[in-house]
Formats: sequence, structure tokens, C-alpha cells
Amino acid sequence: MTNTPTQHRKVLIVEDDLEMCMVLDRVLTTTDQHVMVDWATSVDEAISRLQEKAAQSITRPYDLILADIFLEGQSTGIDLWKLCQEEFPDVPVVVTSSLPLEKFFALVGRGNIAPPFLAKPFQVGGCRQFLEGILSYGKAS
Amino acid sequence: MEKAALNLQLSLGRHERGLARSDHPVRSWMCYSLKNITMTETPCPPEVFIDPDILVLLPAYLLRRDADVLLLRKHIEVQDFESIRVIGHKLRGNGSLFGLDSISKTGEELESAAGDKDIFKVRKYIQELFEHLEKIKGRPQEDK
Repeated sequence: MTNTPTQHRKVLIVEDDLEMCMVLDRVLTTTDQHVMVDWATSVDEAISRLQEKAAQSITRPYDLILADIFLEGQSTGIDLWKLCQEEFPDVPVVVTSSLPLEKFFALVGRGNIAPPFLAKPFQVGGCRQFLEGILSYGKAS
Repeated sequence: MEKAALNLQLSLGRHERGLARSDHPVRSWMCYSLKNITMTETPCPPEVFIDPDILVLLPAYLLRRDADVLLLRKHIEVQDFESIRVIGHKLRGNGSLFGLDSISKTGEELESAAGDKDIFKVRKYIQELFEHLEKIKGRPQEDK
């Protein structure tokens, strides 16, 4: 699906660090003025938001979900990615973490498909380029 | 003194989303911070680069770190190392977002010291955080 310039892109940030939320929000909204950002601090809250949109028959509730791995509650950003793969396959999910890559792959499961990964700490410029690429491509995974 | 700082932080907190969205920069603060960051030598050297798009977030960020110092001092009084560790962990992650690697580094040390329940090191790194913040803001360091 190609977005027209005036069409709002919806991004869900799943992150429990306020500072990180605000920086990601800022990077997204300055990268594309038509981005609308929702926040959730846990996977459960993110799932509730997805279900709300699904109940309104919105087939692609978000154009991008950006999820930290370790969040409030038991579930991780990897769990959210797996759920989206099954329930919302059109929604690209990027996971972020300060985990070293080898631990990230161990968490996903060796030999399995891994979600796009944004390593922390990141430089704002690099993060912007990464997100621009994902949003312009329209589908990250 | 502490109460005033916390009130200011909370007051900004209520508006921070609007602040980020509406590009309302709290201009005097922004210029103040920018001027002092570029002029400060260590631990925030002149070559520190802050992305212009997130510069608007810096004043509120620094106020929240001031509040962190107050909280950390309260936590150390009751030896609440877990709360200190969590604050240290977050500092580690978010300082370098603003190019403030010294904050990230101190956060990492604080997280580690709190994990070890090393009260002397924890006190040392809380003081270090306080000094970093004062230098960044260009204020004279007057610790109690």
C-alpha cells in the first residue's frame, strides 16, 4: 500500500523509558509531519491498542510498531513481534534494545526469523535514517 | 530548594507532550542550555553534538535529571539500592541520546554500584551526576 503525502502514518511506540519515548516521538514527527504516534509502556497495553483498532475493522492498525524488548510486565517486545506476525502480519515491528546482538539472537531463537533490530544507545541521525527507511519501504518484516 | 525544583519538574511534566508536539521551545531555556553546553569544557566538551530536532527536549530532560539527583539522595538515605539501580539503568540508556555520554557513563557506574550494594560508590556516582549536571548548565557547583 502506498501512502499519499497527506495520509497520516500511525506509529505505536512501546517503551517504558519516558526519555526514549519523547526522543523517538520527536524523531518520527520531525522525519514525517504526517506521522501520528501512540505510546504504550507494556506489551499488554500495546495489545489492547491493537485490539481496539481491530474491533473498528482497521486491518492495518499501525504502519509501524517500535517496541523495546524489556518492558513493564512479563511479556517482551519479541512476544509482541511474534503476536503481530500471526495476528497483524501487515504491521511491521522493529524491536529496540541495548542487548548485545548475540543475546538478541539467542532470545529470538537461533535459526528463526528475527525482527528488524534497532540497537541502543543510538545516535538520533542514525535512528532517523533507519526509521525513514522502514516507513518509506512500508513493511519491515 | 528541593521542593521548588521538584515542583518545576512536575509542572513541566504535565506539558511535556505538548511541548514536544507544538515545538514550543521554552526559548530562554533552550538558548541558555545551548550556550552553556557549547561553552562547557568537561565533561561535556564543545564538540558534543545535539541533534537540532531534539534540542527542544533538552531543558526538560535536564530538569528531570535534577529531580533524579534529589530522588537518588532520598533512596540512598534508606539504602533502596533497587530504585537506584533502575534510575542508573535509565540514565545509561538516555544520556547519550542527547550526546551527554558522561551522564550515560555515570548511569552505568551507578547501576553497577547499586547492583553490588556498594554504598560508598553509589554516593560517589550520585555526586558525580550532580556535578555533571551543574557543569552542563554552567552553574557553580555548590553541593550540600
